[in-house]
Amino acid sequence: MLIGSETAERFSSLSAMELTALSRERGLSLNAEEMTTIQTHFKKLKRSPTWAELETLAQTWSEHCKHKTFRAAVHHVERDDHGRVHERYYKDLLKDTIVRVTETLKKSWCLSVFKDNAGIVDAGDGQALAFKVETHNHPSALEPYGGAGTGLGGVIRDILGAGLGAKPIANTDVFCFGPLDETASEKTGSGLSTRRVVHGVVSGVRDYGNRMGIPTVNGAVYFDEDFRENPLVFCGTLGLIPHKAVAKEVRSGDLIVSLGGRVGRDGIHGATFSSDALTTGIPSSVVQIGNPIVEKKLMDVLLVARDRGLYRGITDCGAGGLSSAVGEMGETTGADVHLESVSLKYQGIAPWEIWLSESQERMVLAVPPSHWPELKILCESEDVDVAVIGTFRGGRLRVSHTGRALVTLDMGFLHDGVPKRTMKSVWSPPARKEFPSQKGTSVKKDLLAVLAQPSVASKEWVVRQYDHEVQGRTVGKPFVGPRGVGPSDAAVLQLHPSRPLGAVLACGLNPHYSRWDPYWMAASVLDEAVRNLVAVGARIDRISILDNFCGGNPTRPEILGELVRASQACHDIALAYGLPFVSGKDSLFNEFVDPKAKTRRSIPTTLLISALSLLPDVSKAVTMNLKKPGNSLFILGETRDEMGGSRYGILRNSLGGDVPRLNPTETWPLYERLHRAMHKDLVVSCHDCSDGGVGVTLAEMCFGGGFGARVDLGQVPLSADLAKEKRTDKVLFSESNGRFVVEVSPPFKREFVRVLGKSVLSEIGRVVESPRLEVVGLDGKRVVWSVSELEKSWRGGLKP
Amino acid sequence: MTWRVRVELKKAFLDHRGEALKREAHHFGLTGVRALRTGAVYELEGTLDQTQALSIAGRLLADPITQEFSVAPPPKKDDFSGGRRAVVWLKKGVADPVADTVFLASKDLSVQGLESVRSGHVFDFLGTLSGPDVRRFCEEHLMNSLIQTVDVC
Repeated sequence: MLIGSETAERFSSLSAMELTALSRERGLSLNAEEMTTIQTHFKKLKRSPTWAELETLAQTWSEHCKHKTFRAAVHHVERDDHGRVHERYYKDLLKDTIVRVTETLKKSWCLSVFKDNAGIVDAGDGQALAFKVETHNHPSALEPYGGAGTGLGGVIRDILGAGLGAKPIANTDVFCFGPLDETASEKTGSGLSTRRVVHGVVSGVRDYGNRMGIPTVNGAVYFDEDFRENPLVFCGTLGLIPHKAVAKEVRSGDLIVSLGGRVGRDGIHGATFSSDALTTGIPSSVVQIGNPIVEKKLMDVLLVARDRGLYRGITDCGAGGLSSAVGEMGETTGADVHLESVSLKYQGIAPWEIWLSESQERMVLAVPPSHWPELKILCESEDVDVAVIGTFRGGRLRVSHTGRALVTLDMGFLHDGVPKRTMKSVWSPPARKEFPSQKGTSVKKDLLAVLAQPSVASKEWVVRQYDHEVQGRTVGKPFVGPRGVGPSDAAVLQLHPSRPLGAVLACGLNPHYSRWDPYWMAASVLDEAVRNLVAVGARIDRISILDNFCGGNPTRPEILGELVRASQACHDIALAYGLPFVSGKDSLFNEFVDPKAKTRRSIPTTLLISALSLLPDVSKAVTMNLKKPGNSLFILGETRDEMGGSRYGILRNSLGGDVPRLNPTETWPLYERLHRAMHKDLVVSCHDCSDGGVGVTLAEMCFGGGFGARVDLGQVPLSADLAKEKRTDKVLFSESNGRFVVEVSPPFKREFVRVLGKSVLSEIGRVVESPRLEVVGLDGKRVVWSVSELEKSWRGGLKP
Repeated sequence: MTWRVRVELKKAFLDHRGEALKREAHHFGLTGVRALRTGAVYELEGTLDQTQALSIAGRLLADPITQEFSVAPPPKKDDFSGGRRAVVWLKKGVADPVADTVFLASKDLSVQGLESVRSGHVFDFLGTLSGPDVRRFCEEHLMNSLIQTVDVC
């Protein structure tokens, strides 16, 4: 259709249909409107674009880089439970929800939000924390080891490129996979079995994080049928950065310096490929394989160069390769790039491939010419490849190779030319179903079965592969208690060896709730992330949060409707709690299209909330394991008839019941009071109630501490409807938000109750020496488990 | 000149991965597998003589306590008596960090003349087995066809 290897010569005369076909054929992932906008722009210039220009625009305008769905104007229509129709218009979905929270709250300790490679918040002592969580879903579905490894490598580089570079001090990882009990004939979208995907992803994160010398300290692993074709891989990194290194700039005349790995053909079209549904027939060139040793050397050099002031601007070479990195850095200055200066892995790579390659372990710096000799010597001394590939100047993006011009683009068009999308979204609640009766069930067996569900069970097989001790900061470890088996609520990191200040990391995730209502899914995961921080004693006035949305194809109004509901909940709950979002990312088109079978399957709308806070004295961190026989056990918060989406519901194969809701005017004051009680050293142990409800919480506290507990469920504060029903199973397994089980020493009980004030709480039992969990149900019957059988079920549930 | 280096565990050591894969092969339906041995394979290309290739293999690629190695020109056609041999390589253009590290390390050993390195995995299936069956097993359990190829002989 088109003639010429360098210039799309007939471009200006193509019809909209032909433009769309061209986009598909070249893997540009641009729609007809975007292609027409490009055509109009070049018609004005009275020339055709080169292929390199089209590719550059496609990378920069990709969903992956521009978040076109979340930046779209959305007309949202939804029905409520009574069938009434409500409409809402969002001028810009992201700005009107997530960003608005941060802008409204105006927290002075948020130093850099939504504009850099990571969110940066003040940590005191002249230090700040940079936090970012990324997804690497499509690459991990195709090549789990390489995809997950480079996902982590990429987010580590985001931290190295935040401000003038932060030192990575911790990694987090959260995975969603298909079920492990699949038969051999059931495969992921890439044709690999889930078991292979699980092993590959875990090994990829392990090898990258461990070899970089960064501890992996927090995360989650979730299993659900709808992630079979599209597994989700979230990788996060926390970095420590001096205040003086938070600001950066690029000045005209600065050298464009490429640092780190050499360029090969790997990862070409990664950004555009990630902006479309997964299908068969993917080329191997989109796959990236990482080399953590190269990135480790890059990291070491960068931190020295930063402290010597050898550069004043930096970003990582991620999606879109040099095209995105240089285009982004030169937005205000322009950039003049000479691709023949780029270090290559091997010869024979076409210039446009050099420009777009997503070869890993690379950073781009803006270096004042006078500092170049010192930077070069430093890099050579550490065996790190470095090259000057151009100069920031001229106001436009100009790229050439051995004197031949490849790209001449106006920066304004490159960055702001993408047409704003106007999209429609719809949402209707699913028909309500009743939750099954308790008849014929056994609470005793059911608790063991819930503990053994892979999403609830111990993730020891995963966590123990990671080095969570390297750098010597990890005070609150993934497993706590005298035997190191109790699952902790959050990771606690000591920021400096001679000072007690700590950072606390936690997360919340529960995509199953989306099947009921994405609004309450988002509210619940946000609350879970916050509860996890509160449970270890973190400051609740310094919580910042990150959002990572994953969803299906947003051009389908019902999929976008779910994203809108979830975004609105993020806005409402974060604002009510006073929590600023400091960074976020979305990954859409997590849908598998099988052209042969003519089927498509989408993931449920998924939101990962990662939360960060401070702990003034890490020695005061509270852990979840029971500490001493005779201590009292309190439950905080009300338990309601909210079985929808619960682990018990999954056990009962039910899509019935109501999903947990949340009332911030009840939960937030409770969190403030609990924090005050912890600050007064009134709390001996604390664990939040989430997946599996109070039953799982009590079981984990028991085997975490090696003690038993005697509990009367009749003492649990219940909502009026649940109190009427008197169902032991619902009280044990309801996943109502805003609840904790707290261990309090008898002499402090009165003071604890006083500090908790008007919050809903009740003493439900006590810790006992005998390693047995005894629960008296609402029917007065006693159910007894040995702590060892609880532990055995929980530790045996995940069989990779 | 190209040299193929094969590294495997000495016979006295239990090949845990091989044992696990044998069980998987049986589960897959390859009941004729009596034993399965795993190893690493490298191709060293350049103006190296055999002594230099042996030096890289012995000093860099094999653990002298637990592993043994062989160095020879690549066979025109792989041949394996006693069963089937599968050799898995990365496709051309896919990043090979193991090979990159071998290349850099050989420089540190002051070995001259090495121009490129390729790394792969070798699996020896002992028993009576058909080539297509072994290929199918490899494609499902030992490799990712998107980025790797397999030669079965």
